[in-house]
Amino acid sequence: MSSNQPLSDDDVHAYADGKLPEARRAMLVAALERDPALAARVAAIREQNVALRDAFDPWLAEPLPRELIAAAQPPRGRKAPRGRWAMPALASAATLIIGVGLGWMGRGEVLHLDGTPTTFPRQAALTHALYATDPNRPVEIWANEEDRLVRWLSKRLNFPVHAPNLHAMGYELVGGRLVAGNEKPGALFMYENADKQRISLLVRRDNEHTSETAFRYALEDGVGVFYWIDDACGYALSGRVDKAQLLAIARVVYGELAAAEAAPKP
Amino acid sequence: MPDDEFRVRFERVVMPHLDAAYNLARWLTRDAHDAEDVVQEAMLRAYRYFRALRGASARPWLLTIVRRSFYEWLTANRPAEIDRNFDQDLLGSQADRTTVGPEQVALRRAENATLAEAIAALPVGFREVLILRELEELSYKEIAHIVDIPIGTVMSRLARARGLLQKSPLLESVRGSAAGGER
Repeated sequence: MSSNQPLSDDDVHAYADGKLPEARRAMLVAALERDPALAARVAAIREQNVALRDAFDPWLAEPLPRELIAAAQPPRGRKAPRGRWAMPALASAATLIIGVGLGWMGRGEVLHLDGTPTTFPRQAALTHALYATDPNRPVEIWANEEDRLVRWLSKRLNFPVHAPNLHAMGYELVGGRLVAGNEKPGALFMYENADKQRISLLVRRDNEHTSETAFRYALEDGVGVFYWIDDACGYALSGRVDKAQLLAIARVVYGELAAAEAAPKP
Repeated sequence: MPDDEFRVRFERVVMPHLDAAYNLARWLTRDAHDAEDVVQEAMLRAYRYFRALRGASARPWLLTIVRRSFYEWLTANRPAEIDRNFDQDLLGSQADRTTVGPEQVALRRAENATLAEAIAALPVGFREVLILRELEELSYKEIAHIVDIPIGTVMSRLARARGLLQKSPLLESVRGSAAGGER
């Protein structure tokens, strides 16, 4: 696709997916600044994708048919890649043990093979669990110095971060801190509602997996995490709140961040 | 490589993607039993051609095999479904490209089950790119490779699939209430 072709609807979808090649991406970003309707369209496509992924969630939580797990196993004690093997009729205990021995714990679980770094949602949940329960020092800089907090984090992370306003969802900013990441540090914003329930937003930018976009849910040790990757930045909203509520807040976070990015730079 | 080592390697590398394989087959066939048949066949092939995988990523590789197995199954069992020319259809689709409207509100409000039905009702050529993108979360490049079409066509089919979904008759009732509601 050449970069001098006019922008099409396909480009808008690709942009919403975070998959538009760089040259056309710049064109689209310029168009977004001129055209609020286009920005609304991008937001609508992203919301639609969230709705689609919600619709897929029950499938992801469904267990695999046992017969299939059994039938899909490669043959034991037989010449390997030559022709069919007989389909075992039973899901034997041995089969299930192999699955577990592999580190494959079934659908919805995180796959941990040797050398796999901590996944982003897991890191977010652990970070949340560590700081949200800290009574004295959950954050390094408190919300009364929000401007300083945001400037400091943006400087330390070397890209602009924003603390979304979650007032409409009943949550107020407590503050934020710098946290360790797999490769680079990340920023953590902590929020609290009137019931002292805390949620946190982890933001990080890594060298790896920059092309992947996602809006996914994970439950890690009782902490729910909605996470997505947008424009090479990973975001994870974590809290011990129910999934529907967390999703509603995640949508507001997403919208707030999109609005902050679209706002004219000072 | 001894057979035993081969088998263990297959279990380590390919078996973790069995759920992804089943998900794709389930959405392509729209039937749990048919999906099992397709995946069983695909796993046999995966095992047979496992040596060809080398350093490549196992998940897209396995999904490519699942998709091929599915189309063979489709040809044998439901040939009427493959008789569509999607990209021809795409040419005439510019006119009904949607803007933000009640359709998208409808999608947001639709129950997951209704939305799932609407997805299942999409023609298979659109359904597969949508599933690979939104359920399996593959990159455009990976989808292009699996479906064996150019990236530009992945983009067009995806945009069209989403457009079709917004206009799905199955979401009609939700759309009606959204059009009369707020916003």
